[in-house]
Amino acid sequence: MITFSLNGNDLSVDADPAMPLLWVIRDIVQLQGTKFGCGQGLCGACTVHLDGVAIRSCITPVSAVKGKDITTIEGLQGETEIGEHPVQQAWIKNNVPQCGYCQSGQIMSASALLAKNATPTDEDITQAMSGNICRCGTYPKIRQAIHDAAKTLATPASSDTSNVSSTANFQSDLSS
Amino acid sequence: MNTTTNRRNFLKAAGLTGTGLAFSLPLSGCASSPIHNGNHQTNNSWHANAWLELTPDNRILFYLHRTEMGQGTMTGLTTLIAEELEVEPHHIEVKTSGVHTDYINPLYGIQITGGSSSTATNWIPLRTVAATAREMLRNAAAKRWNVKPEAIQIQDGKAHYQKYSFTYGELVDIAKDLSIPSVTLKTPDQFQKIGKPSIRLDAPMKSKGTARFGIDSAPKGCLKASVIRCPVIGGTVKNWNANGAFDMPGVKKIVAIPNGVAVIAISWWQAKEAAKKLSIEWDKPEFSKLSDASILEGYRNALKNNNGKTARDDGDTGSAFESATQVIEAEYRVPYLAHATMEPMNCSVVLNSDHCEVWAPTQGPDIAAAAAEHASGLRRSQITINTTLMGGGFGRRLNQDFVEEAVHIAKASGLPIQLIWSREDDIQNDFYRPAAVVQLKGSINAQGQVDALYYKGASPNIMPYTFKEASAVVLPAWLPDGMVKAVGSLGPTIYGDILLDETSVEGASDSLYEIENFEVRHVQHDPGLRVGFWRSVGHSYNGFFMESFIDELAHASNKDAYQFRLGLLKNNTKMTQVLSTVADKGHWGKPSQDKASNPRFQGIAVHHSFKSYVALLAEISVHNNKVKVHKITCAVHCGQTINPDIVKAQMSGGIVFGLTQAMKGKISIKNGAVQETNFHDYELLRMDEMPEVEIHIIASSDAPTGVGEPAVPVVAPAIANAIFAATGKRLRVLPLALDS
Repeated sequence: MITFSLNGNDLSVDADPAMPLLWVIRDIVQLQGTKFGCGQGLCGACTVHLDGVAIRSCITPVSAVKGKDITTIEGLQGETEIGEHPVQQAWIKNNVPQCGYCQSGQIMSASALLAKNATPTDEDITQAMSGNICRCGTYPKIRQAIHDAAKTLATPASSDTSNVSSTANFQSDLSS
Repeated sequence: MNTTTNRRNFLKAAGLTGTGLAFSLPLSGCASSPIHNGNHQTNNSWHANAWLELTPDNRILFYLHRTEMGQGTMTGLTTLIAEELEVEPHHIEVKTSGVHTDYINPLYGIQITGGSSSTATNWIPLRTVAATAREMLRNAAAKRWNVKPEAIQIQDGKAHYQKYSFTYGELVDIAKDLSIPSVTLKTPDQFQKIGKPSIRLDAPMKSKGTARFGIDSAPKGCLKASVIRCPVIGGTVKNWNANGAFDMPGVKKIVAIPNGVAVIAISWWQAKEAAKKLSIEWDKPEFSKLSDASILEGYRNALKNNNGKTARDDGDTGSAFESATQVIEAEYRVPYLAHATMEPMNCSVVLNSDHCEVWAPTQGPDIAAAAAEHASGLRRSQITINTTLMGGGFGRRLNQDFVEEAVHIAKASGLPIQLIWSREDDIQNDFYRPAAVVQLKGSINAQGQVDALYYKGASPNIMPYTFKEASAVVLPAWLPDGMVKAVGSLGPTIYGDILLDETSVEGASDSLYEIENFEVRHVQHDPGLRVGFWRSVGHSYNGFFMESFIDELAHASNKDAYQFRLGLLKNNTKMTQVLSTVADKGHWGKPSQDKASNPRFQGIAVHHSFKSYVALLAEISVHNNKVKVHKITCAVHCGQTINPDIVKAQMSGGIVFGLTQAMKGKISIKNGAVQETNFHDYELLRMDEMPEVEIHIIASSDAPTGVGEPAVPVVAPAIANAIFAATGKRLRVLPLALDS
């Protein structure tokens, strides 16, 4: 049994210590917001937080997270009353996603960046985000959304969430 | 034989279809055959037609018949409905449609999402469908209030009369029994939602991790499968040995399928780890004798030894070259490319003796059904396809090999399974963008005018591969499987030896350059690596060939590359418009200079594809033989935009796709095996290489045209032309590389 905290809940899993955290999350815990892209730590689709730092879960053996705090896209907003983390709000407001498959990983990398650097420069953003591939090419919108989220985090009142609230209740059988 | 056909009617051209392709808009809820759209909401609903269901509790359901892969069709098509139905797009619930003839793509005769066609082909039909429902609601309200329909206002999802109003839900009971009126669609000046920047409906689910892609759609209880395939595509299993794989943790079963051996386990990682133990002996196909150098030699021999088919023959190029003052000749070429969608191929299958249910991220659900039918041995009526969101498509998911594999595994194992490909599986088992080699020849006459252009290209046609999978969709369901396979196998003959495949020459044969003597020939040459539709298809390389060579001709005739193009496109307003827009906004002739960095140079290109017109200006610098792209200015004429923000996103995304092609993309072959494996050796553009991008949309109220693909073809030539401006070196091979 390997015990760690996942999105604030203590969890014990009976898994091969070498099993990558990604597959523990997807196949055992069955949280599917974290994506499989390359299995080699090359694309960033599987990015989660380990004690607040962005890591690639596809190459992190579950034994390495024993006793640590893991956060996935599902746990990012924490226990706030609002449904979305400011980074997610900025993503929605800027219409960042196209296919969306890489975006959980992009958002986890972006939120880890903002947690340690509240006012990132373009250069800081490039450095923090170049490990995350987006085949649809949403990079300019990702950059804009990170700058927007930084502003919101600095002064929460500055957040314009009109787009966010208008789409929040949209229903589709393609969303769980 | 010089017959040109259009891929959009390929099945018709091959004589395989009757009148079934004729498109008529089904306006009533009574389809000619049952529509399987999962569980309809309630028996009291009004099924206005194949797309719309309105419930008494005031829900509006839209059955989306095109699949969302990032191109924004979910938002765009819902907006068309919302505009005429007078509701906000996010008040419409979007459900995925099943497979049905009502949902056929009229351009192709099958139910596919591709060819940058979803908006263009639904522009009139979906607005008509919604406007018809709106008028029926108006008539229903008039009946309830016993007033004339003209007295009723339809607004904000309600019918209003004086101070009274009814929700649509309250009118459903009456509306469903009314006759179907003819309707007038809104004119552009009446649009409230179309053409306005707006929200993207799938942004919240894709930002919160709740969007369900194919990989997230396995029903409960599915086991996971990983397959070891022959290193050379097309190879089959000769014999195999489990070699201890059975004893690995989690493993439930190991089965052989036609193209490999599948390990089934509780977790996908367990299946993948166990599969490493297998030892397999393969029967390899002929292609295993070829490598990059011998493949290129084959292309050159094909060009030398064959006249090929005529794709265009204006004037008389022969005499023009004889009387020319100057003749320019060049060979250009591009490599095979993989699609590399971020979500690898995957498919879930639950199969029993009389039913096969499939969950697949597919661009062609009816082709998927045909693949499942073939692999399961069941009838088409016993197959259910559930389409899911796709983590990128780019044409890869028009091929259904991954569905066929998954059904084979389910059948051989008797287990419910989800097949997931690794990234290595995905890059090494694609239907590749064809490699192509062309000879180009241009002449300049005594007046300094280009008066002849000759194009002779060699490449494998895509259509034989598509034909093999798609012909089963339109063949009668009662035909035995063997006969379907026999007809499918005619593809190589029909499209190899008889017909010209338009996709191989598109972008050259239909070039808009006004050159008097213009000849385009194509030699079908297929070394044996399977090929498929890759974002912008033939345009992806013909744009590079044509726009680089036109630049060569401009320089040879000592003319400005922009003015030279304008001169050859005098009669085309839209081409002229996009060209002059990028020249103006991108400051043609005055590259921006930054004292801290290396001098910048510009290149320009223009191309017409998917009925849209795109021009692009690239600004680059070169340092130590390394090319840096600083800025891209792009203009597009694509008719009326539904959602300008999504149009810009598609253009910008197409540019990134084109940048990856221009600077990085290459699939190499050694002894028939694809050498690239993952993102370290098949690299995609990352944020640190992303230039500044500026998109200009030409305002228009013409019918909408494609935006998903048309940005791709102009990127590589604009950069190659800028490299020439910077270095004097003409790069005629992709990916672009200066010798170090």
